Amino acid sequence: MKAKSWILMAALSVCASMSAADLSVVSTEKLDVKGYYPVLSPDGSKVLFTTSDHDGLKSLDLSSSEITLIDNAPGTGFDPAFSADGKSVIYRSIVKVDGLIRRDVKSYDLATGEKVQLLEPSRGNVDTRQFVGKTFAYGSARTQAIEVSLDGKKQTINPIESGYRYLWASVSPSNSKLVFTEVYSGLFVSELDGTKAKFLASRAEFPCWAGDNYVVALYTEDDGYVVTKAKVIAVDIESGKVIELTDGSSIVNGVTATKDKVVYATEDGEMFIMNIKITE
Amino acid sequence: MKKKFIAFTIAALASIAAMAKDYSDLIIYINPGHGGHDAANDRNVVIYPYAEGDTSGFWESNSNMHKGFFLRDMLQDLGVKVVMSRVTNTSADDLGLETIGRLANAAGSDLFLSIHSNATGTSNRVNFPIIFFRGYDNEPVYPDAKVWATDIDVNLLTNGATIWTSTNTNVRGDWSFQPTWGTQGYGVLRKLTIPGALSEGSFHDYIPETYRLMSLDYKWIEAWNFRKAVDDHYSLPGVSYGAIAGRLNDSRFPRVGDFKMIGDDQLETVDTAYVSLWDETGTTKLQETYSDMILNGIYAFRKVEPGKYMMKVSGNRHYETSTMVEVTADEITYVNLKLNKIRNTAPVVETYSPVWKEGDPGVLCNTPVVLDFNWDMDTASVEAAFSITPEIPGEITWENNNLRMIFTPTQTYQTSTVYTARLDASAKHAGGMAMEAPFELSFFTADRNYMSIIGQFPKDGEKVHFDNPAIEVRFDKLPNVTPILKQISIVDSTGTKVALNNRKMTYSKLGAEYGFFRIPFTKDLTVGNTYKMTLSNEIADKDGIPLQDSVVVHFTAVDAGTEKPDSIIEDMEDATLYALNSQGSVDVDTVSIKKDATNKLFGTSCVNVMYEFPATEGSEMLLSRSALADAKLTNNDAVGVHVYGDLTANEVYLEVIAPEDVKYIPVGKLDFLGWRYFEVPLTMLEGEKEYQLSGVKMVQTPSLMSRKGEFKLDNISYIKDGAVGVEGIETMTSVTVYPNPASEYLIANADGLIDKVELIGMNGTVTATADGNVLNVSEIADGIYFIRIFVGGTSELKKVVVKH
Repeated sequence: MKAKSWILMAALSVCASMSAADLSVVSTEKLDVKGYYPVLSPDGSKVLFTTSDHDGLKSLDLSSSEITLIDNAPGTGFDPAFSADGKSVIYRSIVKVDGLIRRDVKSYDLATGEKVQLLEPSRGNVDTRQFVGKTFAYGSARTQAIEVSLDGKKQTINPIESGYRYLWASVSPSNSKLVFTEVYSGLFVSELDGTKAKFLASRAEFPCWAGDNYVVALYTEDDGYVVTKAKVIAVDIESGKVIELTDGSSIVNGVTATKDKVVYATEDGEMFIMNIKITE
Repeated sequence: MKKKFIAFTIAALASIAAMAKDYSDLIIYINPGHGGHDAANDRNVVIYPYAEGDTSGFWESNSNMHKGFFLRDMLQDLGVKVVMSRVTNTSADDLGLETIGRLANAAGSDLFLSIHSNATGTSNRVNFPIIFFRGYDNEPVYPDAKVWATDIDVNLLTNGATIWTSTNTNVRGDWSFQPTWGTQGYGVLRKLTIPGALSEGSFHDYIPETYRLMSLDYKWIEAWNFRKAVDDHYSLPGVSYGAIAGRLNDSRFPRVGDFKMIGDDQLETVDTAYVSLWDETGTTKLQETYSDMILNGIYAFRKVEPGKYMMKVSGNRHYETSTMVEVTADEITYVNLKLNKIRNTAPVVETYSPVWKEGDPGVLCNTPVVLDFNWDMDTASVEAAFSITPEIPGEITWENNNLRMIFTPTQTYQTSTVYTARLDASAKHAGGMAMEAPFELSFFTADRNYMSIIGQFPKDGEKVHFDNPAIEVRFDKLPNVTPILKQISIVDSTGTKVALNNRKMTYSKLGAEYGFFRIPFTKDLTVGNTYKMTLSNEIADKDGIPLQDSVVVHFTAVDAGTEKPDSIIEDMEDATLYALNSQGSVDVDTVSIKKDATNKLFGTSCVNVMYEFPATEGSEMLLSRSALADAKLTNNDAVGVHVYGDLTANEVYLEVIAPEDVKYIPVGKLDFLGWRYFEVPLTMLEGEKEYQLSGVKMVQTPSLMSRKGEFKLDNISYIKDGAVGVEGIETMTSVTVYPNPASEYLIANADGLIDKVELIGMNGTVTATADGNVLNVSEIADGIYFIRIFVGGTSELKKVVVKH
């Protein structure tokens, strides 16, 4: 593994220092590892990544640059999640039974490499987040609502009137807010029970929390066939202010964040880690 | 990548071995492509009667969504769980590609279908389905996706209501189809973890297909075929009922529109036709529908129990027709019908040509007779009923879907003649009804029915200077030169074609006094070789009036510069020696005398004379030399003159002067092109006198083409004692003249037909002329003369004596 090559991207990124409670880009680093659809661990030490076709799943330790192969089965790279403690990875694989697709759920212990099957191959919708711990949220195709669990207390909420296609629901780090996308209505933040839903942005994909005050997402445009524009943005959930973290010179197709890091991948499989600073 | 292929190949094989047991197991994700009527992310094709941007017109997003709805409903009726990416058509529900893929995955789907239609993006117009899967053509990311795409393609191609320009399999990997995108491919397929296909079901920029895609029935057909692809993919039983669908066109009338139409798309569509389905005996009506109203003629009975039926179709403007239809379960029976337009009145000639009335000028002698009818006609009965008097052969053709009959004479009409075209009342329209009365038209023809050649080079038997040769033909009217190269043939003595340089062709322009074309040869001719030129009688003027007969000409290539007599009188190197002598000239508009170093025959240059006369007859032009030439000429001598002709037929003379005497020595007519050598005996000079060259004279020959021209002169020489034995200088040894001396008639004989003879006095003036070979000299004064005999486009001089 080569040493990380640092590229200062500050000039390309839009600094947010003009705002009072601001998010600013400190530096941007190009990773020597190629990959797609990155997912940061809660502590920001590891990145899950896959291929452009979600083919296999690997983990990159950002400190040691060590790469761990978690699974090489097709589809295992689609929408994996870290457990709440960050020690294991929850992911799915796909099998065909009687010609129909079934999905199972496995956990992978990052320390021991042990795999445990959490769910036998099943039909229909299976979301990895319901296996990450006692607190989670996810949009359910089955219930056409958001399933929220707080310390094991579950509820089904539908924050948007007439909304029924929810994606990318997640609870904020301090378990105080909920961010989610209703695909026809846009990106919203709300109370955990779904009340006080507030519109943040349209066409925002991969929304995730960067601290408790910012949501990082990917703004995209397409011509119906291919993505023609994709920028990483950060949205201040209080003011609704949108900050562009990338300038659109390359098409980004996946992003993830913590309170001090943003990792994104481009169409060409280049992965970047962006160090950010949030000033309260 | 390889591991995945193996894994999914096994999975695919497994799927073949053990398919879904029933529809309720399946989850299908449908993505109607595009959305929002947004030009950046949608496709609008402007078709009548919709304005650009009208959301009621053709938008791919509308079409894709309707197909998706029909497919959703069909599948849900069978128990399949269906998820659609959008069910309205706004920008808000035109989801991002990542979102669409993620929703499909999250829905737990088994198959993904993105519904689109295609466009060439060029001026080319085609119509066929293309189905894409993710990967290379022969290396799909998900092997089952290629199987799925193939299932779709096979079923879409069964659509019998459209016109496919290709029925080849078109199942492509998006990486192979869009190689410049690398392995990114179509975004919506990239996001999937399930087998997916993007269907470009047909080409929405093939305008007849655009109109079809406006029909709900037509979009229902495509959805049916998608549903059949699902059945095939999972070996599902299908539905217990069938369907009938098709396209209705007029049987004869062409479709109007400035767009490409293929096959039966060239026929008018029958819209809002009433289509009814009856039991097999035709006694009980079971279903009814109408064909679409948006210029596509599409209809469908979407649910019909298997069995035999009678289907009846009628339109407001079309006769009812019926046909038997057999329906089988789970199949669409396609019935495309061509309906006969109702023709409920007798046929009449509505307009015709030529239209002529007493006092009008005569019509061109090749004018076709055109009859326009109110109905499309039964061609056999009309052709049998048509006659023209006086009889003239011709061809009958039909246009405008048999609404127009054209009689074109295959030879020109007689001049100044009344012709009557008649259509007997037995002529019928296509519906079988005859005319109620016969129809007649009459016209009077013009006084010209053939184009005439008024000058040509070369003529039969002529010699052509080999260097930089050209042919030229002049006509009484402007020729149509467009096809002229196909109407001229030149071969050498071995029959090998000799090429003309069409790029250097010149020809008469509108307003010219006469018509002509001149075409240089591509290469020089070979001295001594003989050639044959044929001008087809298809050569015609701009009105199509042709030559009466083909013209065949034989000619020989010579070098006019090889004959160099003894002594030079004038080398023509100095053009400034010559100037127009106004007193010796009559009616000369302009003349230009210049040195010409390009087309000279000897030395460094020759003298070029450009001239223009005010009319087509009566002019004379004398170009006098500033000083007499040194050479002394007597009547025992001969002169040799090199002349470059201009095909005007104007005559050139040499002016020679002796003390108290001027003589004009006839050199020849400029009825040729290029260089030619003339040798003339000086027997017309008076004995004992010595003459010197003093100038050159031109006498205009009355003719359309004699008004202006350009000729050249090079070396003028003399042959001492060259006139002794006049016959010695003649080249047409077959020409004889008798009696000589003559008192009543001079009679010329030659191998060829003698066109005319001229008697020329010793001063160079023409004293008498006669067509043919006999010249009356009974009134001619005694004396020595020359007789010029014209044979086959060339002429020869003979010395004769008239003595009474």
